[in-house]
Amino acid sequence: MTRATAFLVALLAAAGASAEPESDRQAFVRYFEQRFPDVEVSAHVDGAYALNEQTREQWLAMEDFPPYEFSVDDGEVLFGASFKDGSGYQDCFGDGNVKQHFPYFDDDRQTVVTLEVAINDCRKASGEEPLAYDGEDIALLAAFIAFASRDSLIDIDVPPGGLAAYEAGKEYYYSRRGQLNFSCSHCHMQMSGMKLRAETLSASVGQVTHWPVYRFKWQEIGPLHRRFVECNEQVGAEGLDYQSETYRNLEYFLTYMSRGLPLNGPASRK
Amino acid sequence: MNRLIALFSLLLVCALTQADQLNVDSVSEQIREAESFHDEARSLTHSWVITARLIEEAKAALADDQLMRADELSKRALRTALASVSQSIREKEVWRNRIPSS
Ligand code: HEC
Repeated sequence: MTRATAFLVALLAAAGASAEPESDRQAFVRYFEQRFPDVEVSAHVDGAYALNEQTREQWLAMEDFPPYEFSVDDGEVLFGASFKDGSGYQDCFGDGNVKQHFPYFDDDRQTVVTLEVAINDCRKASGEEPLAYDGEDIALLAAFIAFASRDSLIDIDVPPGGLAAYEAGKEYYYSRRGQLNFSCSHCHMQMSGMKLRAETLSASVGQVTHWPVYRFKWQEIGPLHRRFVECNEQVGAEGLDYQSETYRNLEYFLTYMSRGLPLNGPASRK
Repeated sequence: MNRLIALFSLLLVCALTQADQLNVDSVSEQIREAESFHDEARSLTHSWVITARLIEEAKAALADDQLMRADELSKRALRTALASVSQSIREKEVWRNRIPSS
């Protein structure tokens, strides 16, 4: 009896711990359902193009010859190459259809592991040098993995040990920053669908499903954290290093908010 | 007339002491203060781009012997550095208000 009670208490504690991210997510999704009653939640994976008919047309035309196509091909070659010890990425990621499980919280290391971190972990385990997070190779590998994971549904969770990281990401998202004194939520919730300097602001739900992205502004494919830096700098805040703990926590929070949505990376953006 | 001269002398003395206070050491100290608050803001992930720029400009002006300009720039840097730290403190209290309620 006491054992059963203890078990029940433990179960409730565990359920209670992860109940918050789930109720957060539901409220988050409901926010956008109410704001955009005519837009399916899953349509937000196309970002601002889900909210602007005109730019959507141009974008769809552009996607006929996707500018990230060569990146996926190059990424596939890198992915298939062997390490010095004879192993390779397949030993870590199988056929590459794994993106839906990232990022996850690693209890042993007490940190959020993104796909990029896992790529470098895979290399280091075979005695290879880690790749630079702002370099081309890691973006190409991520592009191939994103492509191989297309249509899989985001399937991450927040175990009790990961709650603090999740909370840190959530606090970062909702906090005002920079000289302009804006939070992510100001632009991508309250002002979503509105225009800022000729750009339609996307909804935050669905914002993580399609990375890396080929941006015409960048003239190359780049990671989500590059976009974070840009959004920070837009409000006069200093951006952080790619794969810094703060950005990984932010990615963790944002990805949980998009849990259940289909992956559609890589993608192209203006 | 005497009173007027006295007033002028007083103003002159004030201006001179002011100018006297403005020296390389005091301005360098002001830049260091701005830097230290900027670092604090950075560690709180709340640092602003403008502060870094003002600090750089203040240093350049100082190196160029433009003391007044370096003073002005470092004062601004200090102001924005303090504002960024206070933003972080304020946000700790209020960020939760922005979470949509379930
Ligand atoms: C001043 C408004 C503003 C703020 C604040 C802002 N962004 Fe953005 N963000 C933009 C604009 C403009 C774009 C480009 C249009 C779009 O896709 O929404 C963008 C795009 C993005 C994208 C790419 C969306 C896509 O479909 O490719 C992501 C992801 C993103 N922002 C995340 C964030 C995060 C996280 C924060 C907070 C750290 C943030 N933004 C803060 C304006 C803002």
